[in-house]
Amino acid sequence: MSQASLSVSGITVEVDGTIVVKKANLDVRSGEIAILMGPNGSGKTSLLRAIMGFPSYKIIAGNIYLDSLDVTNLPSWERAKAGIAIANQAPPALSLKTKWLFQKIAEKYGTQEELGKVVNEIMLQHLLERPAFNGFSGGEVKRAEIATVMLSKPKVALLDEPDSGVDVESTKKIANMIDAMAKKGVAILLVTHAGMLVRNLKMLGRGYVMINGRISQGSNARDLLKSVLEEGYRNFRGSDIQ
Amino acid sequence: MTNESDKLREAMTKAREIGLEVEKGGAVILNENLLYKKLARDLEKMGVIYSEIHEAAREYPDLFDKYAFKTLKGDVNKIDSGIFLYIPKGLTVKEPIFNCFVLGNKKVVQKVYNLVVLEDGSRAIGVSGCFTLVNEAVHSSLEETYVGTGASYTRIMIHNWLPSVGVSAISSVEVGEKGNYQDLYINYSEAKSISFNTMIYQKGSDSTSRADQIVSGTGFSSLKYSTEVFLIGDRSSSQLISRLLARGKSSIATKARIVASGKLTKGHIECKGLTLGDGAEISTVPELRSLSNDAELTHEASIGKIKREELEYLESKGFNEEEAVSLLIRGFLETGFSDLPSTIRASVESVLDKLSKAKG
Ligand SMILES: Nc1ncnc2c1ncn2[C@@H]1O[C@H](COP(=O)(O)OP(=O)(O)O)[C@@H](O)[C@H]1O
Ligand SMILES: [Mg+2]
Repeated sequence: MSQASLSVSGITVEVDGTIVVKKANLDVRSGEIAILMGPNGSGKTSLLRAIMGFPSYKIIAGNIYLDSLDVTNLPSWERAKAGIAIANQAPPALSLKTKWLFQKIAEKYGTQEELGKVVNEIMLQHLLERPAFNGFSGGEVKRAEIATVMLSKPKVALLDEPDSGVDVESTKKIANMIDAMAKKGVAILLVTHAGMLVRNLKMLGRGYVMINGRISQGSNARDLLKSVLEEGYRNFRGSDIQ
Repeated sequence: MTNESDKLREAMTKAREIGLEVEKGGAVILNENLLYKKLARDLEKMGVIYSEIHEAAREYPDLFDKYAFKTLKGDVNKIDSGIFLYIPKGLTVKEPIFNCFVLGNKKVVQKVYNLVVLEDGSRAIGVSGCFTLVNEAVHSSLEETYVGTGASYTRIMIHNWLPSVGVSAISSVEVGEKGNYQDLYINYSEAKSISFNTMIYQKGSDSTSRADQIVSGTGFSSLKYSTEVFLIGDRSSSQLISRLLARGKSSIATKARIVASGKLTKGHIECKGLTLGDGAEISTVPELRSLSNDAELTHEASIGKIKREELEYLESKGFNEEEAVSLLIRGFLETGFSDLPSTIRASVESVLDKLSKAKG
């Protein structure tokens, strides 16, 4: 079995009858922040949601391992309890107070004592009494989602564009939190488009690129970011694609 | 008699389970009779009257004639029992007063009349719990409430009946100038049928009211509610808020109506329904009627199911389907009724928690 905390081995994902991820391979070690980049619609969110186990993202081939545990056929809540957590790109508006969402998650994972600290750190106090994700600004959505991940104390964190729509100050805070998670040994798979978040991260590891549902590995995260920011994805269109 | 005292004990235990602390100040009407009543001494000294309704008619004929059966038709001689609560001018009673109406024998038809009077500038909180120890019985109640000038009354009512119980209730409320009436009703029983009509007459200018209704239907219940508010006084305002949760093969039908005749009145109706399961049915009819050219009346109504995305979201956070559903129901049931003393808030929340976990 692989040494990685998260190991995605040749998975193909189907949504609504369409193949959106093709034979993807990817590893993230404990304590590593791996980044996943790629143009809009290339399948990054689909890959993350399939790893998390959302039912509409059907894994029709391949396997997902959390450490040595094959989670491919587990429902999402069991994957969550086993240690996978996702910060969604676009969570749905819930008919549930933000405070309750946080409290229930904290109860589930025994992190009640960290709740106050997390809420303060990401500046979410003003949202607690409101139904979660109802009329939240772009940045508020991202911060609240990060909070749910922090509260579930995962082994593997899937972060889907946690920085889009987030202001400079909050981006730095989020970067610090991601680093802090990595330092504690969390394996982090981070989808991002912009440089600012990545530049603020210290625990960077590998960089992956996804194009048209296929993944290619581009050396390390920092080089990948530089190349993408300078030249876009044209370098990845040819032979790099597996 | 021992039978009766056993039943009373059973009733008190059940009351406690739903957070009604009768021993701290309250009464129990079991079948046709008032069997227990307690009010703090100092409140009596300050002029609070808390008595059985026939007794009240005898001992306080002037008050009784002034207030009883003025907005509802009825005859105290045809009533089994009931409560008269009278709060004198300017007095604030902080501790809630708990009234329990209990059906303890089969085939019993309990006919109740309650009269609540808050004199000018007074404040009080009444909590009513209505429940059954047996099946196959009927509860029929009339209630009149007078909220004087600048007075404020909060009424919380929890229905917890058994499946083959029938309930019919009529409540009429009059609110004076700058008076405030708050009403929180929760039904989490499996009663076969409930028919509940409430009329709120806001005769005083600048009066306010808010009535929240949280109704859960399970099994084969047929639940009907009608709430009407008359904004008669100038600048009077009202909010009617309901959450209807229909499970099993239950049916819930509500009417909410605001009639505005005073100047510059405001009224809002908010009704949300949630059906779980295929046989459940909800119908809701909001009606706004303006007899004045400057009334501001609005309503919003929606009926839906639990949304798949919300469920899947919570599942991805580690909640299994059952947990996720009950979390979403609990969120749905929240109306934001804020005027609750902390002692009652806890019991209301525990009732709502139970409601969201129950299966239908
Ligand atoms: N629920 C869905 N139903 C239909 N198509 C979907 C669904 N989710 C994603 N897709 C499609 O899958 C492709 C990949 O989308 P996505 O994974 O969101 O890409 P990215 O995150 O890289 O922008 C897109 O073509 C998108 O339209
Ligand atoms: Mg995406």
